[in-house]
Amino acid sequence: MPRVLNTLLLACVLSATTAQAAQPLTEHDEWQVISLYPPHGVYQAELLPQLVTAVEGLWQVQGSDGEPLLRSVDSLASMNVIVAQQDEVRFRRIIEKGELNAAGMQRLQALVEEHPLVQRRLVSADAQATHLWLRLKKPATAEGLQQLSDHLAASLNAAGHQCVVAANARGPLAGRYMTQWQYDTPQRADGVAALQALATAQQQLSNAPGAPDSEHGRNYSALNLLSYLGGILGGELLDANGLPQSNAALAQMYMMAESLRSRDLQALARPDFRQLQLVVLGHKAPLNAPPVSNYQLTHTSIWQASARDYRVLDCRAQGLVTSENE
Amino acid sequence: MKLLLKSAALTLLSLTMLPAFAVSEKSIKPEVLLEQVRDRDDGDDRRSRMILEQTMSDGFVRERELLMLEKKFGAERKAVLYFTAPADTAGTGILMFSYEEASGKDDDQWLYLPALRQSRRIATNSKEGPFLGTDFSFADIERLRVDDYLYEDQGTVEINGRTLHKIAAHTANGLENPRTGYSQREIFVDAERQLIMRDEFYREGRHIKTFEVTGLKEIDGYWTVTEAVMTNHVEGGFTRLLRKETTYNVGIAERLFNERTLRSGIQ
Repeated sequence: MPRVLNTLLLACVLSATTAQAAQPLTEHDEWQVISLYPPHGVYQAELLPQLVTAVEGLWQVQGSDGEPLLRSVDSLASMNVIVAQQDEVRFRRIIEKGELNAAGMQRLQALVEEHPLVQRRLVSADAQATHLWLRLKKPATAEGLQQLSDHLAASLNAAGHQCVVAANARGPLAGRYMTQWQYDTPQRADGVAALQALATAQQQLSNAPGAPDSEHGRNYSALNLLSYLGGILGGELLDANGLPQSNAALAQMYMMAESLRSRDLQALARPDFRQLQLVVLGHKAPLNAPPVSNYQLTHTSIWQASARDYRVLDCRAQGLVTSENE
Repeated sequence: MKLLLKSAALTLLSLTMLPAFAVSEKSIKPEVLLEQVRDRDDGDDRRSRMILEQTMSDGFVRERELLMLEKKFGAERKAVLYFTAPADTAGTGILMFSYEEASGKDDDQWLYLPALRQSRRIATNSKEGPFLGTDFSFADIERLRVDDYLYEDQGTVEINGRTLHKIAAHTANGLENPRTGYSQREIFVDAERQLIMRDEFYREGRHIKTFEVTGLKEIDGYWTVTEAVMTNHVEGGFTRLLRKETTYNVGIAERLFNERTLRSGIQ
């Protein structure tokens, strides 16, 4: 989330004293999603380079004013993530065109399942669909999303596929929500203590009525990304509960991420821990924000599969979108 | 990747250089002038203490202090950075090898984390991303690449008592350079000292960042940038880079530029 926006949002709620009393601003218009059904599932070596090209092409799509529509896209074909390979730690594309042999495909599948920002956010549990999370430069509209979906379909069709933008929105995310909560505290916070508070909130969220099942999603925060980083870096960065051993270990994991020029960790928790994000994906009904000890809820962003914000691009031969959500 | 050693190149290495020879202020082509900036003499080695002071849009300030050693090895350059403050990152070290551009070889980089008690080789696809979380991107601080843009001489301007050449730069197709993330720049060069004193960065016609030299000193015969600021007009923050206790050509030992030394730290 842009810092400027965060600042504005924080200014709106400075007078709030508790999460309940804050009445935080709620937005519904940030994300839009395209779910793509490739012809034979996601993990096809021929498909993935075509997908990279097609997603890169989305940046060329312009609105009626001649300006590019897209502000950002999170997808298998566009995201960089931190991975450990042999003795190296790399910030690399999820799909590396030069690594689409059998071993590379296995690594890709493992990465999808292990990385908290990838998992069900980008690939359905049955690996038959992949999701593109889009942000537009201007307020989201159904027309803009349709234009991007059509462009994606045209790009893939030019590569020999037969993709159609589904008339309904019955994809793997149909009937689902993604909610992002932002919490702030006015003073620099103890990092490990903040992560402990997040862990408690996430546990509470997991047990809440309507929480997503593992097939459709999960909740995640900086804690999950740090746990992932600690896991791939090895050593003794994490304790038995998956929390950083110390604030020094925590600061050094930030140093690793920053040395690789990844922004993901900072986006989920600022290095001074004055601001935290908590995200839940795949729930079927609105959820209440769990309290995070010593923090105030300052912003809520909700994405809901809807005619305006969700499209399904079906490239399967039968051209039918199944109702996996049912 | 042309990694941090090349960052050393501009912010840390090239922010210093001594003019190899005088430049005619009126006749020089912008490409030639920038090549002279790129190729200026910056000594055989250098030792400095650096402070990276990042101020976010809401006023939060994060400060890191580090010791930096740099040395030329023929056409290659090596650098090592040791973080000395704050305490939670003290002892962290970064070792960087940068190779001759013509070789086409990516830079090598290793990071030592005391909490991990081991060094790991690191590599990144991202040049646009922030340099150690600051408002500088790696592309901002790597060694200047003249071929990235087309240039237009816009005459000279007077800034702080110095005559600077103003050069307009833009990509050949008008789109953003995928490596740097910029489509256009306005560069202000002190030709005599062979230094970029100010650089304005644009993307899609929008002014997104400004680099400015705010402190300059002649040390051991080399003009050295002692303070520079990168202002981020999009996110609202800025990063100040301070160089202190700089010495040149001190005969820094080769053995300090290897992984083993990185793990044991500098004495």
